Amino acid sequence: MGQYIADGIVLGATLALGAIGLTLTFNILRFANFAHGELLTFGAYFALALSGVLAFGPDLGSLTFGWGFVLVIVLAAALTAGLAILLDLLIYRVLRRSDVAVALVIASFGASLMLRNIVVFVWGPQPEYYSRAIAIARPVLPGVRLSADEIFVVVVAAVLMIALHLFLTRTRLGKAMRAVSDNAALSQVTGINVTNVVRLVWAVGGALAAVGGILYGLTVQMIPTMGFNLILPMFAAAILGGIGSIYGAVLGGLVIGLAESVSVLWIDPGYKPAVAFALMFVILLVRPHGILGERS
Amino acid sequence: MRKFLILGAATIPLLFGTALAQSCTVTIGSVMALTGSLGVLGQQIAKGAQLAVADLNAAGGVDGCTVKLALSDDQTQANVGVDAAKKLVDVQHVPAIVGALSSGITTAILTSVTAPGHVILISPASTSPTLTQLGKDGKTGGYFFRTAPSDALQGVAMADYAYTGGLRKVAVLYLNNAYGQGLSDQFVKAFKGLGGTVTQDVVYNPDQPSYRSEVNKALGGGPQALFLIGYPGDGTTIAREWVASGGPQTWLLPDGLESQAFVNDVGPSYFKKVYGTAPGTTDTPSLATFKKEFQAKFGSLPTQAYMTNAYDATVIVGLAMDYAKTTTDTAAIRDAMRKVTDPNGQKVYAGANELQAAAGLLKLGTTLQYIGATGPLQFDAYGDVAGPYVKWTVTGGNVKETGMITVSEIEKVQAELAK
Repeated sequence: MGQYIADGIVLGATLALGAIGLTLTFNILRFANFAHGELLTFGAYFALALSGVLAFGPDLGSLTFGWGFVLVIVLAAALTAGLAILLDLLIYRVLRRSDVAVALVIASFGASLMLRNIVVFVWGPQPEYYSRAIAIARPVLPGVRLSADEIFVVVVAAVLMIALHLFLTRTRLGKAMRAVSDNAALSQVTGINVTNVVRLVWAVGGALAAVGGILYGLTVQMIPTMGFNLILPMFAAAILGGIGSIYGAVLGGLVIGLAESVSVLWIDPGYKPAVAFALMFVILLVRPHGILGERS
Repeated sequence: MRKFLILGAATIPLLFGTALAQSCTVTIGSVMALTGSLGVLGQQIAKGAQLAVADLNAAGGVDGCTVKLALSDDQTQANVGVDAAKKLVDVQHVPAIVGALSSGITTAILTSVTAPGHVILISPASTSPTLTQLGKDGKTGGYFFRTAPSDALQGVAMADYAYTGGLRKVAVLYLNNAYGQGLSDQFVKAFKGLGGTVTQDVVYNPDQPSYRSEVNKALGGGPQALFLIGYPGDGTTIAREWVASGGPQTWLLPDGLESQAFVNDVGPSYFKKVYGTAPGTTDTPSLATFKKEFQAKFGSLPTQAYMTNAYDATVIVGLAMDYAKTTTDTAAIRDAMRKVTDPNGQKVYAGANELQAAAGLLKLGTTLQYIGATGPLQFDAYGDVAGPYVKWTVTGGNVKETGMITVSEIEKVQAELAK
């Protein structure tokens, strides 16, 4: 049981990082961005390319990477943030002017397809790894074995979430973001530059997605469809937690990760993918706005 | 001057011949996994079909036409495969499709596209017993063939190999599709019948974000080894998580994972002991020719299962069209498939030269027995072939074939189990 919970938290941490960006774009830009999964993919592959250039340094303790990798994560996150802003400039900003709300969603499907195939074109369809070495899990608690890499994943995710919380509550920019999320028109009246905030949303969402993708690549593997395979659980997490709520996205990610992992104890793993959605269904029946969602 | 005349005279039929061969083209469809979970295997298997088409054309084409291979990628996904097959049948009007690789995709294409559309489907790699069952239920219309033997045999071969190798407690992790279910069922039945214990029999879905919980479940009960049934993409993730979770590094690996890329991606050092099985080839002159031609065309030797099966599947379709003297009447081509693999027919082998000889014989309407690079392929009533299995293992980080399990050996074990 303990092992299943630990595994669920590791997966949930990755999902949560992705779901934060998803919920931000949904709340502020009012559309479901299906290309968000590809930001995870690109983040992971950017890190792969960078890790070839930047020396890893000797492995740290029982981790499968060295100090250089932290720098790689930061740079890859910055590149992915840039990519997200570029996508907005080239595609979404143009379509936002149209009145057809669904155009944005369909465009995001197209962008997703395009980005995924760029990854295939550049890096090829085969699975990739940052390190061929497998981080062997060691007992950390009675009945729970985790590898150093997995602990790293949880720690990084936790640090980022705390940093995001501080950013949103303590800085001007963060407060502006929340204001636009609450009411864009009203915040514009008070002098907030909405265009800049939108750009910031993309940057923050893209960067967090990139880190999520890198952490996933670190503990599982990188393939061009990795982000696409994660998009549904991430949506489930965002909706479950309450669309627009960042803390809800974190909670949703953890709930989905845990539910999928722990459910294996009682039900056939063949039905595992259904668990997240069954849970989402039940919670939405009871709380239509999600666990932490506010009534609009 | 005289010399020139002779040269000229010699050139005319040559030119004429080429002109004839190019006067029409016949397209053979193919749906294979070039990307996705099975991609690393599929890209190699496709080369077998490409070589076959090159050989058929070198031998003068089929029914006077140049052969073209329309190769589509199914991304190891059934819906993509069905769409690709629909396009081949409805838009390009192909008489036959070579594919698919994954049994799950083959089943989908067979039941929704080729059987209702009366198009021949010949799979070089789908081994699920489900496909035989579909034939028995009359759902294929006789339009389904395969050049790879059914897993009803591989399950028994693997159980016997593992049990005689000293393993008594084995966990099974299998892919949730026709291939995984079929092979796991057959293996569990046979291994228990021999006296072994299957500690866990766990199913997994493709393309999941994580397989940790499945791996944890499979670790329960303290197995000595893991029988991992799947494809390299997800298989790599599962194998790495198995190692990371402290699972024993003794592996039972089926045909779907006989791949050097899989071993390299997981890490060769983690394969302490490997019991591998895969459909084998009977040693015939065809195999040597295939290897030689393959190296000449692609610059490397064929290294994995099903490349010969893809070659043979494509060649048999070509020969059948030649025998039936039609490239459009699929019922006639279907019946001709058995006329060119008839055990009483005149023997022809693989390779461009042999196929040219075969084309000559077919002009006279001779019945042939094509002995392929895989061996003599004789289709039963449901389009199945019987064949031997190779044992393979990983030594020094390389996938190596170590021996054979013949058809009669498998039958002996089956008889023992039936007691």
